[in-house]
Amino acid sequence: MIHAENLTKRYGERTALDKVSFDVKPGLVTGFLGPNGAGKSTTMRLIVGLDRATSGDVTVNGRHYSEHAAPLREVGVLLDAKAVHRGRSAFDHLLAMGATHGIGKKRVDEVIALTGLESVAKKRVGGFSLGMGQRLGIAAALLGDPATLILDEPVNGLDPEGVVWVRNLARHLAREGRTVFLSSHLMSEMAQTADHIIVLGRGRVIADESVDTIMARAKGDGVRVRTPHAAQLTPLLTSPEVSVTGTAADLLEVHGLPSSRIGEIAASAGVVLHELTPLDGSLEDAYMALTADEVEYRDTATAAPTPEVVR
Amino acid sequence: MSAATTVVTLGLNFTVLISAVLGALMITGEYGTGMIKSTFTADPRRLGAIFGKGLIFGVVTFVVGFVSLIVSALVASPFLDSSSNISIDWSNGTFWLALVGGAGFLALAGLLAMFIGAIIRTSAGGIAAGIGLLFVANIGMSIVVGITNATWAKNVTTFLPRTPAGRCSPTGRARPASKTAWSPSTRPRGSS
Repeated sequence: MIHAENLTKRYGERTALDKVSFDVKPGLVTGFLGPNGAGKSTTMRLIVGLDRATSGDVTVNGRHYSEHAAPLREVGVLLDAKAVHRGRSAFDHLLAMGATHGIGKKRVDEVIALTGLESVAKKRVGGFSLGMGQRLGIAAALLGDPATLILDEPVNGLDPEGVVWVRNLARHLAREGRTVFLSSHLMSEMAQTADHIIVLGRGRVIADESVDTIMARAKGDGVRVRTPHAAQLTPLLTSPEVSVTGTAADLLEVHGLPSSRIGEIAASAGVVLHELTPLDGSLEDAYMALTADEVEYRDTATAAPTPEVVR
Repeated sequence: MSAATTVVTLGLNFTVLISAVLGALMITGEYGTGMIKSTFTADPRRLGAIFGKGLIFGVVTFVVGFVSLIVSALVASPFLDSSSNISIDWSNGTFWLALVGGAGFLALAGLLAMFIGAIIRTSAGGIAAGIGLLFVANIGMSIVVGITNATWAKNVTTFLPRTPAGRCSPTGRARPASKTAWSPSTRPRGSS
């Protein structure tokens, strides 16, 4: 359970987060989406107290992160998979993390097995690939068997098998009643993993809805019509509320009429139809439409990068 | 303070450099690797982690420094006896006090650099600031004192971290045994 209220973070002139409020509920996988620089990582850093909010408040499992007596047992967090001493082995890193919370070798071995790191556990982290580093970060997050998991871009650098693994793991953990909060900038990835999605754009929440709602909205009202008599059908369909565009000689795209109505009109005029297909807008399109105005870094614009240091 | 003490603790002028660099790296290294994020998520109140580091570093540095000073005294003793008639009086409390003060100076100088490092957060900056404060500040202030002879400059010099060090590692002059190395003095004297 994560509860954020009017979170605001400014870096000098730049406002990274602007009155962000949301709830992340237990038992669900909540996706946290937004273009680069939207403030996803900043929000996650504020949740675990690596950064201090300019104003506003955020609690995890009912308390500020720093007020938990044993934070790693409450909240597992993967912010930066490279937040490890490079000369240390994966096993030693996890053991050292565990030592701060009285977590022993047994649990360390468990999370190593769970993340499939057995073969490299005794090797120096400095030599790890991006994917192995990511698995180690997830292992560290799971170490305290926490009720809330916060994973920043967990599939980053993972191979397809790893992506599926993270997806199943996230869903499994949520089914156990845990709160799972994942960030990504890939809508398609989130659509397959998350139950609920919070979209951030330029430091503001622009959507906070279930995946089903977003899916339903993403459904377009377009219908593709293939007919050898396109020229004859076009004027019959066209009206102020309906737009008809010819995309090929025998192909029309109709907006504003349901496919059933188009079929009836065609039948009554004796027009032969070869195809009548309602068009689904993709989730990606819905997301792009949502964030179109909020994209921070367009290819032509330049802006100051978000500081990533610990404050 | 005897000539023997002077000889035995002479090396501190150099070893303090090592302890200051090590102290700064103790914390800035974590910022460098990013490990600090893991550390501070495990201990979000942070002070426990930082003081824990300080405690370990301080105790280890003190013990290593103290043992090194004793070993160097043991090694130096026969040479001193034969060549220059300086003898180490192992029963002299002031001699032991100088060793404790010398090791303490190493530990505290390292801790100073560590806490500066915790504020600056970069290795190069932490080391430069730590060494600047321990080595360069006294030289700078002595120039100011030399030119202006101002009271404030002398007072500032008294409170520079290197100044009390001059009282325990005997780059300064002898003190009465009753006056311990770390007794605070508002009088700007005893600086080397």
